[in-house]
Amino acid sequence: MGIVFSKVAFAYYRPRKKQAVRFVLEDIDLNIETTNEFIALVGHTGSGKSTLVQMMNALLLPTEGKLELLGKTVTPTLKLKPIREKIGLVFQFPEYQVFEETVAKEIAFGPKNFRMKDLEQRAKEAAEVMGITGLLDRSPFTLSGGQLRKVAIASILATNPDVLILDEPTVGLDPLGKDELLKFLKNLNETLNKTIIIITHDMEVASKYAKRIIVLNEGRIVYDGDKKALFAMNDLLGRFNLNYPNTVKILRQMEAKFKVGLDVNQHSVQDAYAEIVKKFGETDEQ
Amino acid sequence: MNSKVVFGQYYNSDSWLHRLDPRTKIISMFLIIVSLFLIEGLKGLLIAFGLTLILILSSRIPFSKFLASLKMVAMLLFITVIFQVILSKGTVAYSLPLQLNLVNSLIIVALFALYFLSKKIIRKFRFFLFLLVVAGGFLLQHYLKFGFVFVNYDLTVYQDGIFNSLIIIARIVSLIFISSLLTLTTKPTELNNGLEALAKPLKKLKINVSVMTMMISISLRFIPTLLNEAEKILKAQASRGVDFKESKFKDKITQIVSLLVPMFVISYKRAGDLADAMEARGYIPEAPRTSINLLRFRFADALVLIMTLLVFGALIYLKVSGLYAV
Repeated sequence: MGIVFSKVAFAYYRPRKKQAVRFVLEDIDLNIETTNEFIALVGHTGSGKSTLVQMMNALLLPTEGKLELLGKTVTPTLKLKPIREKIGLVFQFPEYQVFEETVAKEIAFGPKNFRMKDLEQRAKEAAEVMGITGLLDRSPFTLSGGQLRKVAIASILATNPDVLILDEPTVGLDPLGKDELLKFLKNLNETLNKTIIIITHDMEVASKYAKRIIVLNEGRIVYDGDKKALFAMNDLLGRFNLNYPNTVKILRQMEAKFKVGLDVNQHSVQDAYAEIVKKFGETDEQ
Repeated sequence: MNSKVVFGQYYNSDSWLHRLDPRTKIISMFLIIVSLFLIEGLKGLLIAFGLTLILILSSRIPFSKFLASLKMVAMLLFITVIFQVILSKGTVAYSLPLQLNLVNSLIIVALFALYFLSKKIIRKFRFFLFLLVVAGGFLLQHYLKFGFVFVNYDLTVYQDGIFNSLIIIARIVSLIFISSLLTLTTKPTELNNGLEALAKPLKKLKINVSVMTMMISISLRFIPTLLNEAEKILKAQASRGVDFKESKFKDKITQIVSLLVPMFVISYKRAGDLADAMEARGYIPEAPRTSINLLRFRFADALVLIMTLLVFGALIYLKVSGLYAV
């Protein structure tokens, strides 16, 4: 059960004769549970992150290999609606999907397509969760980018999926909104055991919230596992084109200068501070 | 939905036809098409068809591309040929006694039903399949002669009918081939430049040609972009449960709205952005402007133009003087 990729490759174009196939994704082996995972999908621009999540929603079918979603192998003839009901994908640009007269209708569009009941109730709940109850009666075309993004997320949330995939959810949100959204996702993950997958470029987000990190580089999965182990590696930039989170960066530089045996792998400001205090002792500034 | 739609038919290759000036190609195509309608007899048309094939061979473009362009008119050709064969009278070429009875009419109906039901299984060569079904229908009427008889009749094919249909086929096929020769060997932008250059004299009539061609080239430029966007919208809605394949007709209407509204909104936004960007770079609609793609009229162009003009002139002369004897 869950999302299982085995030896999956994907190419956008069917190659002409004599032409080599240019795979966007190659050799993907991945196993994602439908409960209790919080995954950050990171990688350089053009590394195939968006393609990968679109395959998880059966929007793209694998060119080679086998893809299983919720226990069913994805083929062109498979009924995809039940899968999309349980695996929700929020796209990067919300302006590509809003079309209704009011935000409430917009949010209820997903549940309506999946033939769910109590549309208004669902829309209201989803809006409450995203903190946009005040916007329910407005036209989505009058909203700002950040508000639209919240509407887009709410419209997926309203169908209550088991797996929630978000493509760059924090872009265009102010710091407060960003934090709120991520905390809310964490909450969803912890209280309702939903699986959350986010694509992000922001290592802070990845290190602070995710439990598992998948690193894509040039269409291949180069790392899949615990975040601590990832940031404990040396030369992330050279290897995977990735940055360290700020806390790790600072601690690494301090360690390089003072060599006092700091544990550099701290992912929140508090932890990093505690580690510094432990090694250097409390200063009189506090 | 996954396959990208490539706009324009341009096929990248290197032949003398690709290198010709687009102005030459547009004028010649126009003259050749008019010439095709000036030729009356079958022999003349067959010669024209042969010349077209030679042109196609020299263009270094796979023949399948040209056949693909015939797909659109195949049905039309088929129907006109059928009517020509059935309706024209004259000397009998061939006659086939047929009988429509209970048995074979049922089989024919079943055949057609099978043809339509097989839509999902057999996707390629549908047209040939259709021809096979029709031909099979006639054969059944010829050979299966038992059971309750509805009507006995003869399928008579007249010589004139065959000649006429051959003329139509030769004319339309060469016409399609010639026009796709233009679109296959010329990039849309080049075509647009050529049209602009050819329409320049219209400026004297106070028609603003450069604005018109700018509009054409902008719309050509944005077709792939819009298609791309449509695909993104489709995907975004698909993940919200829109499914054009599986849902009922009533639901499909709202689903199409869910595609069209974002499409309009995004296009308007894009148009506004583009206008701003153009203004920011100092675009003034009426100002004289140089082009990055200079059109060059070479010796080959002159040769081609003279040849087509000669053929065209000769045909006109033959037609007017009544010397047409082919």
